[in-house]
Amino acid sequence: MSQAGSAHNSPADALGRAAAESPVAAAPAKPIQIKMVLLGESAVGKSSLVLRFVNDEFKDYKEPTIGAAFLTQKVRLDDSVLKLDIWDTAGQERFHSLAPMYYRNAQAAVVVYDITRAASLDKAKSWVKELQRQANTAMVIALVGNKLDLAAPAPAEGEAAAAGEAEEEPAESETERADSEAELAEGEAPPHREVQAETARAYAEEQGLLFLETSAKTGEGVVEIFTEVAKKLDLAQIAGARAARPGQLNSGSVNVGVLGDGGFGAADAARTNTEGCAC
Amino acid sequence: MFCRQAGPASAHDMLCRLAGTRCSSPPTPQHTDAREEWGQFVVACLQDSDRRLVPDSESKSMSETLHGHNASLAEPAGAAVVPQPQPQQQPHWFDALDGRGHTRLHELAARGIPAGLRRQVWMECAGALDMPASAVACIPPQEDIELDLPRTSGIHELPGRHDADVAKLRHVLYGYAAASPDTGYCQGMNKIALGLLAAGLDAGDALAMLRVMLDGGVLPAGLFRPPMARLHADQLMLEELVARWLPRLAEHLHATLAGAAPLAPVTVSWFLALFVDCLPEPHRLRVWDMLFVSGYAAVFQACLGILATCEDALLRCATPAAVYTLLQNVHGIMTHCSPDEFADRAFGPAAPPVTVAAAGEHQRRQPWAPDH
Repeated sequence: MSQAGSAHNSPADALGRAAAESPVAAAPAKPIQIKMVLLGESAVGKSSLVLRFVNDEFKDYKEPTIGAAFLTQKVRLDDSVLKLDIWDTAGQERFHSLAPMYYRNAQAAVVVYDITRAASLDKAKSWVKELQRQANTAMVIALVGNKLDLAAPAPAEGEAAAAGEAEEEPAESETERADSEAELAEGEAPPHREVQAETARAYAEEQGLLFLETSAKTGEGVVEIFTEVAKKLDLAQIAGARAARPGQLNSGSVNVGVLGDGGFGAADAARTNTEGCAC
Repeated sequence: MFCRQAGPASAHDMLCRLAGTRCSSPPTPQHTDAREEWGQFVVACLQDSDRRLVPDSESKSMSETLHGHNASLAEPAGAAVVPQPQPQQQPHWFDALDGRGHTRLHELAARGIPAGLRRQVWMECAGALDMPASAVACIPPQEDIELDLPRTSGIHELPGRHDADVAKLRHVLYGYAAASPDTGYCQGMNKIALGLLAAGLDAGDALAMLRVMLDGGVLPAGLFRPPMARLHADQLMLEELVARWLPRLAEHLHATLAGAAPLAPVTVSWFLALFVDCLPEPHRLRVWDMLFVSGYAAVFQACLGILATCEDALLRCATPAAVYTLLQNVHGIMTHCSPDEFADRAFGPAAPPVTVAAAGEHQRRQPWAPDH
């Protein structure tokens, strides 16, 4: 069901390397809690990105999210530990009116589109506009183009393929594309890239958003979304605001792992040691 | 393999099956008891309904059908689905129920409808049998549906059943989208449809049920229709019910979580998928049994039942993350509570009485009006 990404670019591996280079800090810092929301059109891969990030898993058929799903994951950044409370929302247009419930008071948003569906970028832009108008003004927003594994072999595209393995992609993406075709209605043409990275990046820069291209399937770029967002957050300000509102969200050690599946299961325990900034 | 039949014949059919004549599943002792209880109950209702509901019409009384010739029994099992004759409204056995009868019906449903009777009771009580079979609709491919068909949980996991199940699910979802273009396909319907199919309904029956659920008054009209105003309103109503019936929990949630309706981020999905994800199947079937027999209030009662079951664990949660993680995983907690215990908590005599305005229960017995 789940399949690890190819060895050279899986997030776990990237984290492993990072951990090997910088010894794990001895004193566990008090985690800073960050509320994060994922938005974007239906079936662009929001849940798959979170599943890859939290459990390092990928399912070819990730069931549609109804309403929203809640997951947590820790990220280590320098000497702070961030605990991300992630709301992964349903993408169907009619659930639009539910979204404020999830992005209200969020410090970060990841707006996802599918690089093989141009219309999904339009939807992403409308989410960005709504967040800029309605949400927390200090919110860090990342624009993420997912399903990079479905892109036809193309020249390496700067940061998006920052890991530098783009030249090894073609052989691998052939087989992956065959797998992913199963998701489409019969008779449809195989998916190909409809949104060029440059186009989306230009828009993101103009709007002051982080921009990444990812593949939840291979794991490429996934951890980077969360670490890049974390780096851009004004942690001092967030921690300060928390301290001023004790009892609300401020919590030292939270044991949310009791129930397993929520994100602090065995997979998480295994990953905690290797978490860190992969950059 | 049962055929869909009209009015009294379906009641007859039901009794035949109660007697075990056409039951394909091997009877277990427990099964037989429940079957017998249902049998006695329905016979009593039929006798009652004959007295009260068929005063002078020419139509054969139900007890005549019941005690008369057994022609329809000779029908081979697995006969083709008989198209629904245009509703010449026949009285239903449950129309004759008085207050005590309703109480008895609810008691029986809370203890679970025997699997072999489930389809029949669901369809009769919800009013799906009154609905003319939907014409085969030709509508253009719906992207939302196509994207969800292969990834709806439960389909892909069953090897060898993939194509057939996708075809059935497609039939139900397209059928509904064609019949109710104003509402169209809403994520959640896929899970409900799959639940209906898994309970043994064929695609045609599942479509009839889905239509009667969403547009025939089992659920409030517009629950799944943008901009989802009814869904929002009902989350507020749920919060009020929690405040009233689980005050300790409400206070704790209020102190821990921000916002006016702190449960709503999680409970919207309980409503939209009718507990398919958050309850183990036996528990969820109890809720559905109650929903079809007694109406929309069962959804709120089930929410209260879940929250009551999880109350102690929730009271130990000190942060929003802990609360939401737990609520996201109530399935795990519910497996430690037997379906009987849960049903008793949610629907038993000591359960909070919930009345839902405009649940449309009164509409259910009305003749089905086709939308086109």
